[in-house]
Amino acid sequence: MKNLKLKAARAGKDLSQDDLAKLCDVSRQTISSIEKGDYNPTINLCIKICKALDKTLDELFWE
Amino acid sequence: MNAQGFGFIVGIIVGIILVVILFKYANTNNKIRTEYDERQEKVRGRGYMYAFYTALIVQAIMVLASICKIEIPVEDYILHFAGILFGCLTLGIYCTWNNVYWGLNNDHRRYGLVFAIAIIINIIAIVGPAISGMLFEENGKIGLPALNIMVIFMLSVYGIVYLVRKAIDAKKGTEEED
Repeated sequence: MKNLKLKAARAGKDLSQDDLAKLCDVSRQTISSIEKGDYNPTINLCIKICKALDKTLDELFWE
Repeated sequence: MNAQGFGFIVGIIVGIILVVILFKYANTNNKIRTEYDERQEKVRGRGYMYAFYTALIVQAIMVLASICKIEIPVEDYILHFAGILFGCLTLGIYCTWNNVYWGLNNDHRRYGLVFAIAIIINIIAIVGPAISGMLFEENGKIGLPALNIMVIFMLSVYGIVYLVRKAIDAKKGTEEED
């Protein structure tokens, strides 16, 4: 299932996938895979993404 | 140990030193080891599994051919190398197809240069035997230059898979959209 909340939060911060990937120490393809719903990140990566986007886990990853 | 065996070992040692230097040069933080994120590690783990099965199957075929006394006009070391090559090929294709072609600390331009150097070195290695007409024959069997041809083939397949993957991603619009 696509993670549209993550995509919207990233766009809201005016960050590209590459920018967010650099902030989280992952590849751009990994951010793309998470947004497309192809990859379920570990809790550690979820927290990194949340911190980079100033969001909570609930806001980005709770259905 | 004969002269060819000694030359082979020296070649491998020089090759390893060269690879270490090139990898240090090609990584942005001057580390030999390429760093990957968690998704990439996961994909690579599965890739290694498939590579292991592939190498296993190739070796099993070799054993079967040997038991059945099937004559293959190829030197033994080339056959063993084929197992390694097909394993590496499987790993490379699987990882590239699943978007794990660049590590986090890879300098893309420098890696391109390293690949180009690898292809050129292997082409140079087959030019001599090709000119002297000894490209394949070595004691009536396919010999050393075939190794270089196999490596060129492997690198070419990597390149083709990479370009196809990029083209598919671009068509699907999964590339960076902004």
